[in-house]
Amino acid sequence: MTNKFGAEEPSNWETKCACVLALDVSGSMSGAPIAELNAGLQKFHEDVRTNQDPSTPNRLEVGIVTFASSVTLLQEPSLVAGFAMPSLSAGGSTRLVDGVREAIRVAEARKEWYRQTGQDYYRPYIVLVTDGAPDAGQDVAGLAAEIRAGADSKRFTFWAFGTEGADMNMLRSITHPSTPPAAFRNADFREFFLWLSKSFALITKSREGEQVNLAPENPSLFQHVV
Amino acid sequence: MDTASGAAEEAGEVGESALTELGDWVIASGCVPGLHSASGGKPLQDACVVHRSSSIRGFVVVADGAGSAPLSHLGAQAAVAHLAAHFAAIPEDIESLDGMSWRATAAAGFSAVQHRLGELAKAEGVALSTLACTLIVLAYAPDAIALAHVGDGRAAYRTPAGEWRALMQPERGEEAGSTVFVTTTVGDDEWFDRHLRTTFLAHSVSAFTCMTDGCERSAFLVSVFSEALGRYHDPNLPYAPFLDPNVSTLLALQAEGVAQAEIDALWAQYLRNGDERSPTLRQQADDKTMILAARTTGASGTMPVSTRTT
Repeated sequence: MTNKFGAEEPSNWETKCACVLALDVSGSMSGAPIAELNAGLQKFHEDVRTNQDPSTPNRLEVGIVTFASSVTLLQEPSLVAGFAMPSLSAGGSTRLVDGVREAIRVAEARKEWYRQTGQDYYRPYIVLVTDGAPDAGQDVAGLAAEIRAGADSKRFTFWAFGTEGADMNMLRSITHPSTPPAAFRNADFREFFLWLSKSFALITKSREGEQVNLAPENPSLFQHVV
Repeated sequence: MDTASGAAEEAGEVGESALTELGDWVIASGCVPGLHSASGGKPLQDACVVHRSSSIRGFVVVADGAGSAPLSHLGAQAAVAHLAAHFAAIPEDIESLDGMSWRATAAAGFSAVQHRLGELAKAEGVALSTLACTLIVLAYAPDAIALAHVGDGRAAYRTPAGEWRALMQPERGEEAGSTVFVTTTVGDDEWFDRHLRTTFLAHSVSAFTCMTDGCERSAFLVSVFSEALGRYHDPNLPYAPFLDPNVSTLLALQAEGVAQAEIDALWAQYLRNGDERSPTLRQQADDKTMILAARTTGASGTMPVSTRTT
């Protein structure tokens, strides 16, 4: 029997999910790593934009903060259709703590904007990617306390990923126990960002109120850090 | 664990999907997995019951298990079955009630469900929060309709003049879809007074619907920009272009003599797959439960009393 049920759905504004990338572009990233990172970002942009599920590009807002000797907000959180992925260059030291703090500020400001404008939103995500360690004198302990408090109070979810050379002990110290850091192999940024876009496709399809576990399960890409 | 099936049996028949034909009403109910459950091999976390007390009176119960609670599917099943059993045992017609007495009646039912889930959690050695679910009951009669709920979901009725109106305001937290659950606390009267929400209307309606939040973006305007407010808001507005054609189809199928089970299957198929005009249904990750009821014209029937659980 032909199913005669069927009707027009309303046009509702999509629930938003902010993801702020905090990217290490210090001198150690020069050469092949920064080229790979740029290729990975392009792949991420394309994969989100062309996702078969239209809710992902309409829900996920990506922001980009880079850090080296200084911190730069390259992209306010925005749907990927609204911006071209920038090309990054490397050089300088590693003001990682300042970079992550800026990413937290950007994520929280976006959340506040969602709130003020009445938009439904998921808890924002902050994703740190680094190949090194913070400059001497950076307030790692203070950052760790901020991240723990932010995660405990459900203000944001923080994830840290280290490529080869990253100080994984430092990353473990700043991440919340519920979201431990992971290392990915061979500076394979393309695979990493492909995995990340698929993870966010899951997030934007998740049940409301549910936090998707981003813990990487791809053994060829990730080494778990215990 | 015996609670889901056991409690369901207290209320009557237990089936995979449900549709109950009434004398004056035809009711379609569907409870289907969303993409999240379907692709992940996870259990359906929604549950619903349609109970017909007589040909013209009855109630429906809908529950939505929390995605983050590991046994919420069992909580949802137990909650709908136990609440259905509770309401099935109440002798009064809702037309004999008013807003206050309906609230007291509903509160007794929800309190009983809370304690039942507490006992279940204790028996299974699990935290009550693992059974977390929202819960809605909607009772109907010729000249009254009443609703009580804890948490989110949506419900609406259509006036005899054809206007759809919301029957409940979902309780939502700061983040998308965060809400309170019937399991959030037990024995806290202050919490219960704050989070049990009730509606009582002493007049007839021509149709109603009740659903979990997995269907709300298909059947309601829930997030639109308001020029007057200068911001997005949730108007909680039932979407007639979605509801009316489906009500018409439901009545037409009943008039054609299509078997209830077949109508039910068609409704569930639609909720599962949507169509070219309903892509949100097809793409919905959350489980989807929607009950759609419409009043037929003509004399009341004499269908036997039944309860079916999905």
